[in-house]
Amino acid sequence: MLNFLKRCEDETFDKVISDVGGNLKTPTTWLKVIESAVINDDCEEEKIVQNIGPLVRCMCNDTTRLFFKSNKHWTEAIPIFAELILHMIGFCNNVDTLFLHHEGLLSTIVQWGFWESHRPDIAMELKAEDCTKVIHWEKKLLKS
Amino acid sequence: MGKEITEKLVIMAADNEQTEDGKDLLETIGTTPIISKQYDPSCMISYATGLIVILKLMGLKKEQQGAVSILQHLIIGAECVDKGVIAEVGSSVITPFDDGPTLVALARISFHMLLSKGHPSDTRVAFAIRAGLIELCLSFIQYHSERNVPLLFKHTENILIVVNKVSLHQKSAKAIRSKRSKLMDLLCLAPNTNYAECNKLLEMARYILDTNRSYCCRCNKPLDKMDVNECNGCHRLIYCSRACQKEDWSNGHKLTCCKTYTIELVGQFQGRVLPEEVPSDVREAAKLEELEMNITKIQLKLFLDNSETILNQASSLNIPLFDCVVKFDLRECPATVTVENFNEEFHTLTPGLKKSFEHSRSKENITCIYCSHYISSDDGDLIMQRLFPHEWIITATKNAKLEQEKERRILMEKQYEEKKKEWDEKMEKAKAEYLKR
Repeated sequence: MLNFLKRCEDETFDKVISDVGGNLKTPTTWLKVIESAVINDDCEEEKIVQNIGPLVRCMCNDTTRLFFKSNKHWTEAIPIFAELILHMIGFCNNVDTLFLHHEGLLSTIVQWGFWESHRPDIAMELKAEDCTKVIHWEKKLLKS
Repeated sequence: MGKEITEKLVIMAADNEQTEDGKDLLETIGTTPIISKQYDPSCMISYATGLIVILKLMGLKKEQQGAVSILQHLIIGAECVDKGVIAEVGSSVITPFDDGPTLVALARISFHMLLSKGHPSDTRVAFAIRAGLIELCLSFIQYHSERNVPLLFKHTENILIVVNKVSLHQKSAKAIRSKRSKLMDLLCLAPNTNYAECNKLLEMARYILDTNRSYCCRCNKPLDKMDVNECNGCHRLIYCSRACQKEDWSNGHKLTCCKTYTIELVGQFQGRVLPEEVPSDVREAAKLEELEMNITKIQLKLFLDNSETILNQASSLNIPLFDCVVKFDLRECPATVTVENFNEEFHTLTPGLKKSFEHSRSKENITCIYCSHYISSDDGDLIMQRLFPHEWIITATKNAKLEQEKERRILMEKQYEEKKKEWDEKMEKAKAEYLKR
């Protein structure tokens, strides 16, 4: 799965899926699979951390917002990518390495919290349900 | 969603706060701009500032303690302090409904944001004062007087102590002067409380504002900005009128005006700076110069305000007044005054200082030392001392001596008259007896 995700920077999803074979219309399912791998399989965790670079680079660029050369895929993938990172922080033993090796990831995480107030363009593009999720998480944080 | 992850990261970094990696991570998080550079390259709002803005919007309630604790890690642990943080914290508005522990944390943050590498920073204090730091302190005092929160008192006191330490420095002095009248009004409106602690803090605030006022260097009259007549030569001394300026000129200022301090001029030069060498760096030298000028503007007031203490302490030492050195410690709030015997306490001083003291003494002046903070970028926190001979004491003492002499003469004349009268009566009596016989 990670090998396919590595191609997210330079190729379109249609081209990649034609090589893989299958009926997927969006790469978010792959992200969900990786997320569950992080939660359930400790052995996979190390591999994911090492190979997640291209995905991080794609998701951190919030101006071009291209993931598999598609703005739509990027918008759909953002909430799942955020959850993936959240789980990785929870389960990964080597968080410092993870965040220091992937340039821009830390800044992006910090900036996510301010999208609603300072990036109306992204907030508008995110689906209504995802926005509700963002607001819910903010409230949860403030309560904690 | 980002906030939850960031919070986790901050807590993890805070656990390793003692290590370089932990500190670096905290610093990176705290100073990250909240908008990506590609979208807005000019964005200067850091994560720490953004968090304070959100806190202020949500109100300083108990539920916000998680966010406040993150802020404490960022500001106290990693010194993530920028203009935005100071401006937002300084302009906070406190209401009686706010949560006590959250306010204590805010006061702690306010105190730490004024320090740079552990030393009070003139730039930060000046910026915070302009943003409303003193008003915030008054709100803390008000809250403490209503709810009695000892920790809030402690942190507010610390803030005022830091402000006092740099209140005579270049930027802070200007900032205080620019807000002086507004703050004095607020202090006048501050209700009297039964808490001695609150009154102490209010006194500290009053003292800071009072010492940052300009006073005539001759007659000690408080001056407003428009009334100031500055010496055109040195731009160091200020007067209320032409008459005071002329009087001071003929009284010794003509010897020192526009002169740079040299060892040869010791004694003639009214005031000098310790450490003796003026910094070679132009900016550092200017900072020191401004500090010295600001001390000049208040030294007469300090001396007159404490004249009774000085005389009492001098008489308890049982030595001639001119053998005393009066030491004002401006680092304390309010400044402490100690009278010391020059020959006992300062015998190890440099020949220059001794010469200066002897010169003051020979002219029946009393020597004063003003100790203040001088924060050098190279050497950190140094003590700056300014030596100044107070000539007013001559006039005061001479007048007192004359008065005493006059009273003594009147008394003697009176006694003489009484004795003469007594003698005349005796003579009259003796004469009458003689005639009777």
